[in-house]
Amino acid sequence: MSSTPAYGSALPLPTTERRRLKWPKPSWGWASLPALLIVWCIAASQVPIYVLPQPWDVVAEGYRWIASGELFPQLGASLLREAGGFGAATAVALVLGLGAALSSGFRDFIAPLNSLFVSIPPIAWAPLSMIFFGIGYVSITVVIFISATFPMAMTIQEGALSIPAGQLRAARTLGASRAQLILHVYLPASLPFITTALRVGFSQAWRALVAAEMIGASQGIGWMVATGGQTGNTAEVLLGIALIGSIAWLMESLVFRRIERRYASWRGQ
Amino acid sequence: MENAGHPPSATLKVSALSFAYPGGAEVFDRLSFAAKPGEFVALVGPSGCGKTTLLNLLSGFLAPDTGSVSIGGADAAPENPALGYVFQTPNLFPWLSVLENIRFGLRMAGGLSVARQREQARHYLALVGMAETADLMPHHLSGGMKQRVALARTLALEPGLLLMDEPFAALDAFSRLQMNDELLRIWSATGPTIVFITHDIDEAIFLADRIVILGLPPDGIAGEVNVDLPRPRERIATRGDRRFSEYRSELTRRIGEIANQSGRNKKPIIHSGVQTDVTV
Repeated sequence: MSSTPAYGSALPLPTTERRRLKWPKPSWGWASLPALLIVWCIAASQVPIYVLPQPWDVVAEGYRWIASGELFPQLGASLLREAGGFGAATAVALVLGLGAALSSGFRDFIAPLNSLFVSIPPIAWAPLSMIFFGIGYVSITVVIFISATFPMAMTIQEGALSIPAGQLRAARTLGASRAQLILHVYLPASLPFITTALRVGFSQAWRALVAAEMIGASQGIGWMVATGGQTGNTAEVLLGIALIGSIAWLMESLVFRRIERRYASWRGQ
Repeated sequence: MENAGHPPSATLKVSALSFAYPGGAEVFDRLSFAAKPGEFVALVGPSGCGKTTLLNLLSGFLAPDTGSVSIGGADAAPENPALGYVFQTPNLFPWLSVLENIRFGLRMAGGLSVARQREQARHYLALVGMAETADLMPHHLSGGMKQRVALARTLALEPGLLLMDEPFAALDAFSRLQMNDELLRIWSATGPTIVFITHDIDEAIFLADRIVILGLPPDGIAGEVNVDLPRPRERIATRGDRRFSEYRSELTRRIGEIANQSGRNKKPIIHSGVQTDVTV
């Protein structure tokens, strides 16, 4: 045991050290939102308020919605639909994606369906869904479900197929049964891809949700934007757009990116 | 080592094994050979002789067309608990720590309590000289260290037969010498039967009791050499032994003769489009 190599040799991370010596590269990412606001202010000062209100008018509109207790039911309705459609899509996509990775027959069967559903804009299903289920929670959730399931299933399938064959062979020689292979190798090895799929699926679902709410709903953020447009209340429209953007951004950067980063260290292996 | 209770080593028996890839020429025609319990057998041969195919048959990843492979009396199957397999690449699970990688097989088998599994995993991690790395993740380790962990992961299940497929081929020359020493030390402490595939003649002589030379398909075994060098073997002394260089000359000559036939009437097999390294 005296001949074991020095462990330290593999541990230091030379790349981070080199990076520390370099002058930090300035990033201009912080400036884009202020720049947009400035352009907005200038543009708004040139036109009447009912065409384009100033940012602070939109903030005031938001305050009015909160004060009247009207905002949170709209937000709640949208988030509830998103949760239902996205949740169901996640469960089905896991089954479809892992199933397609494990069985080449099922993969061949599902491939045309995947490309068909991915190529149809989800909002095209909205009128049909509303005829089937009426205007309300179910019809919008179904549209979200259709929009998110297939991109997620494809991402999960690709991920599970990219698991190195050697790891699967190793697991089998270590005595893993087929069920254990799925639970203890396929699933953990797919986690980085599953989180990517969740991120993709959430944003797909969110877009579909807003679009569907604009077509047929009696509440929700999409409905807010649509009624604002119909009544000529541009501040309400912009408030809705700001809410849609911030929620998508919050989920993307605070939830999904963080989970993805956890797997970054071993993802390339 | 205090290993009075280490598991019995298994007999490997290959009987009249024939195999052809679908639509391809015959790779093996009624191949037979055996390894005694506790024996260290090295398999060598020129490129395309079917070494990897043979390992796939021995481990049950491929099924023979006719004939049989038995390990400790049971049919060959990847899941056979008597079988341990060390691959060319470590194939560690990157989402598990070093210790959890080694515990993987014990966890699949169940039976032992988690504490006992950890204890056994630590024992084998220490055996390969890596005790300090238990809590590291595989991507923190160098290639040689990963291969040690892979070896410990296989040994933790205490297999009676260890198949090793050019396990040190990807390592640099010095790490390889070091791993050869370590492997002999570990083998003498745990005692499984070993079938070791290599294209490195020196490595085969240094490690094995017996070297089996594979001919080109479908010839099967072209010859055997019993390595009559004293154990324990020493890195310098053993390689400096006069008989060591005699074995080397003999093996080089015999494998060279086989390789030369390939231009005339025999075709080497190419599996999955990847040719293994050129021998000799």
